This record gives sequence, C-alpha cells and structure tokens, in this order.
Amino acid sequence: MFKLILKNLWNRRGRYAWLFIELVIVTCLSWFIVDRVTVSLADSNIPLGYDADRLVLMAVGSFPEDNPNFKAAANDSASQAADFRRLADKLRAIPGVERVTFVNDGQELNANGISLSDYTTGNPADTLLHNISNLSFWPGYEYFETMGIKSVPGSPTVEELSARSYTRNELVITEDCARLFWPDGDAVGKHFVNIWDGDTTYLEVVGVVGNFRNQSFVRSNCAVYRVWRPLTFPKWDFYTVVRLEDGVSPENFATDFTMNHTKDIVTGNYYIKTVWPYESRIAEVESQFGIPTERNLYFILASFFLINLVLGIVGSFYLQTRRRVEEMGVHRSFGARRQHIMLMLMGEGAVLATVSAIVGFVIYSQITLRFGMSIGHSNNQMYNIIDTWVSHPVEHFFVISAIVYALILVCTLIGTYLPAREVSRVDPVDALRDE
Amino acid sequence: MIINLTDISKVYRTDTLETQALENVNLSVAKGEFVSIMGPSGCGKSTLLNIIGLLDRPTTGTVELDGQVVSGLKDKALAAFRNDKLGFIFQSFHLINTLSVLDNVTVPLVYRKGFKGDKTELARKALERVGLSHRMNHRPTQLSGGQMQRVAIARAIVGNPAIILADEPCGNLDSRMSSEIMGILHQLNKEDGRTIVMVTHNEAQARETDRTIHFFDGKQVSL
Repeated sequence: MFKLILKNLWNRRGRYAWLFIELVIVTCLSWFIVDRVTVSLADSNIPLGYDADRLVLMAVGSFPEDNPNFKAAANDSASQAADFRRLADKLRAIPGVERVTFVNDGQELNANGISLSDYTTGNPADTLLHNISNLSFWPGYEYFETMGIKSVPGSPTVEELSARSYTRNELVITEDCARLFWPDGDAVGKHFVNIWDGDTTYLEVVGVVGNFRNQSFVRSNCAVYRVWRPLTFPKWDFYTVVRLEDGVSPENFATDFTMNHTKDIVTGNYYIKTVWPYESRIAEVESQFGIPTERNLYFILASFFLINLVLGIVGSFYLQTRRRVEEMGVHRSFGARRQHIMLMLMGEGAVLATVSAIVGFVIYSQITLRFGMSIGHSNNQMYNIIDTWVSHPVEHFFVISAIVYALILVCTLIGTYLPAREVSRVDPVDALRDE
Repeated sequence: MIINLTDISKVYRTDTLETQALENVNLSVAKGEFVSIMGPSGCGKSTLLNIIGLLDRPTTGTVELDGQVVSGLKDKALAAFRNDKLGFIFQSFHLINTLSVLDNVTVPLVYRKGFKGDKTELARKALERVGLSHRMNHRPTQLSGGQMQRVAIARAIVGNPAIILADEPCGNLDSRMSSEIMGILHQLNKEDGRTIVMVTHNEAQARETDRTIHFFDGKQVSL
C-alpha cells in the first residue's frame, strides 16, 4: 500500500505541485509562529521556584505629614522600628496567615523591572563579567521561608539564611549562580566582585538557595541577594508578603482582608494600601509587558494559517478525489475495502505533508542560521539564562520542527479525511460508472 | 455449482420511479464452465454480472459463490471475497492511467490479506500469459485497445481467482483484437479450468462458450 501511495503521488506530481508549494510556505510561516508561542509557553511553564499560589502581596504606605492620620510622635526611627514589628505581628495574628516578610518596592519577586549588574569571581585570571539580577531582602523576617524558596544541600538552610546577621558585603546567591561561577565546587565562603557604576566591591557568598524565576515569562536567571539594612525605616512605599496556611485561598483572603482588616492594620504611620493575591500580581505584570496580547496575536495568526491550510487541503483533495472516483471503483472491484481507500488517500496527504514539511524545514533552517530562533522574552537577559532546550540550537530546531510537523500533519489528515470518506462511500458499481 | 443464484430480483428506486432491472432470476454455473449472457441493451445483463461480482446487492434473492452464501456479507467480507475469488474484465478496461501496466496488474495483490509473495513477479507472469511482458513499464494510455484489454485480463487473473466475470470484454475492440481476447479467455477456461461468465452482444462469441443465457426485460428467457 505504501508503495502504491508513493507511486500515486509521484505520478500526479504535476497536479499536487500547488498544494506542495502551499504546504512548504505554511511550514515556514508556522515555524516562525510556533517557535515564538512554544518558547513563550515553555518559559512560562518552568516552575517559578517559589510558592506564588500561597502568597499575598500587600503594598504598605506611610501617612505623609499633611495627612490627618499622621502621628508626629511615631516618626522617629525607634518608633518606626517598633511599628514595623507590630505591623508584622498584627498580620501574623490574622487567621490563615502562616508567615510575614517585607520587601522594598521593585525588589519583590516578579517586579516589573529587574536590577542587573556585572560580577566576576575576583580571580585575576577571570576577566569575564556576568550580568546578574540584584535583589535585596530584610533579614530577620523569614524572607526565604515566606516566599517558599528552597534550601540547597551544602549551604545553610533558608531558615538560617533568613535569620542570620549579615555584614554589608555578604550575600546569598542562587544555585544556578553558584554553578555559573564555581562549576566544580561549593560556592559558600567563596568571593566575587561586583562592578557597579564604576565602583568595585568584594563580596563573600554566605549561602546558596534554590533557583527561582524573577519574572514569570522568562527563564530563571542567575540572581544574588544582598541584605537591605534599614538605618532609617522607609517613608516610601514598600511591600509585605504574607504566606498563607495550606488550603487558604489567596483570592478569598485578599477579599476578606480588604473588607474586614484594612482599618485594623495600622501601626504608627504605616497602613496597608492595596492587597493582591501574588498570582494576580504576576498576571498584572505579564499584562504590563503585553505578554497575553502577544500570545493571543500569535495564536490568532497560527490559527489563521492552519485553518487556511485545512481549507486549502480540503479543496485540493476534493478536486483530486472527484477525478479519481472511477479509479477508486477499480480498487474496490479488486478487493479494496472502504478503509483501504481512506488509508490510500489520507496516506497520500500524509506523505505529501511529510515531504513538504522536510523541504520547509530545510528552507527555514537557512533562515534560522541567518536570523536565529526565538529566545522568548529573555532577550534582555541573554547572559546567564538558565539552560533549557531553548538555548540549544539543534535541540531547539528539532523540538519546534516536531511540533510544526505534527500540526501540519494533523491539518492535512483533517483536510483529506472528508474527501476520502466521501469517495470511499461511493458504491463500487457507481464508482465504475463515473467517468 | 460454483455460482448459484436463487430468485434474484433487483429494483432501482428513485423518489418518483421504480425500475425492475431483474426479476426472479435463478441461475447455476458449474465449476470450469464458460457461460455467456446475451440480451438487448438495458435488459439487466450487466446488473446480473455486478450482483454475481458482489459489486451490487440484489433487492431480493440469494447469491451463493463457491459454496458460500454471500448476499448477506458485510462490506469487509465482500471485499475480501472479491479479492480472493473474483476477477473482473470490463468493456472500458478501467485501467488506472497514472500507474504503469505492471502496477495496474499488481492492484489486486495489494489488497490480498496475508500475501507474502513477490507481487511484481506474479504480475510479470500474468502479463507474460497475455503476451504483454514487453509493455509492463508503459502507461495504459500508450497501449492499443486490445493491449489494454489484455492488461485488464492479466489484472483479473493475477490473484488466481476461481471466477472471471467479463462485461462485454470485446465491446470496444475490432474483430481481430476481439478474437485475440476471446482466444485468451478460452485458454484460461480450458487450460486453467477457470469459470467464466461473460456478457456479450456478439452471437458468434456466445456460440463459442459452453452455454448461453438470454435475457429480456430483466427476465431470463432461456438457459
């Protein structure tokens, strides 16, 4: 049967030429679109590395001096420190709350901006600068446990890292960062150098924590945590992150908190301004970057091309099979079952799609050699992006090609199914009369 | 009896019209017999041949082929039976023009369940049998009418069927070609012992067969 399919296609090559060309073009266009959609979705599906589904983000504000609620007596640093602790205690006392921590505005995970700076190992032979994300945390407020960032073997636990006292030049790095700088061994106790704004600072690694993704739509990248040491407590906005007990819905908690607790949670000049379930905050940031719009656009484009492909194939195969009714009658007369007719016609479509896809891939491989493949939304962090199949050109090309081939094949089979089904249902005696 | 038809009727119905193509036909053909069917156009000869060939179903009656009642079989079993036991020769040849002569002859073997042999070799032998082995890589459109019908005969015999059904095999051929084709059919009947049922308008050709059945207006008028 397979030989017969190949012979049928070869002997009708003139009639199938347009369909072949259409399939090659659609293969190339689909490659472009599928590459972008797949990389974007694959990046989004890498685990975040922290427990966003159990977290609630709260914006903390402080009353300005002209506000009627402003308390001048609570504006000294000792009162502010005490008010901070009371704010945390009040939040912890709310039913359903497991832990509470604080972060500066713009330093929360999945903030809509990332601070990057250059680091080396401090070894004079190591002149390569690595562009790395900078984050800060407040020690003493269970930061890592609250966020759900994991401990790493060979390093102090996250509980120890949250609680310990830090000097100014001590820092915590992620597992990927440790592997990047010291691929052969333990990073704890090692030194490296931060070059920022022309200044050079020598830093010591005191701990390593599990990887996380700083933004939900990019692959995880190397990150370092430096301690934020409040000499005076902030008058600007900052955030508190609340970790909920297992089974408590962040959406319900946020609604309940907004309705019932906002007025109670005021300490000194500090109050809670806004509450978001962390996942909705992530969605909000994705929206700010236009990620859903872009994905929808690609989805619409891909659907448009593939629907057109199906219609083109249906049309072409209808025309082809209409001319072949008598031929099918001959096959039926000599023992072909309806399934054989379906198999033959759909097989012709599948082989045509396969050959067209291979030609399309060869053409598109030349385009990728010149213009590259999608790197998703990680293109502003090309340094030190964590390895996935996306980073390996050969693997990347084959993964996307396999997806495109599957799509083209499915569309072709859908497109050939209807005409094949129709012609296979013609009685042999009627088919033989068709001329 | 290799073919046994009992009370076969065939009625074609449309919304407004009912046409009786065959009426209570009873027919038996012995193994190795060469039977011709004659009658005017539209008398139901080809309908009868299509019913024997399992290409069409009777409205009523029973078809028994090679000892098996086949009139109630499903599509899959009918296709297998056609492939195994029957070979068709059509007036207008019904060759597939996009395939070579050799590939046309191979068609029945493509659908033979469990066939492990060399299809090309069998097709080549069938073409040798009809004297066309030198044309096997040609397309049907490059052949004369007589040669096309010989290809059709090769296709009909390649699967070694017990029964050959020929629907006016010489209808589109001149007298010289017709006698060549008739010669091949007689050879297949005498030498291989194949049962042949042939529809014809030609009395001379009919006289050469073992028995002639006459049809008129859907009814069998003589044995």
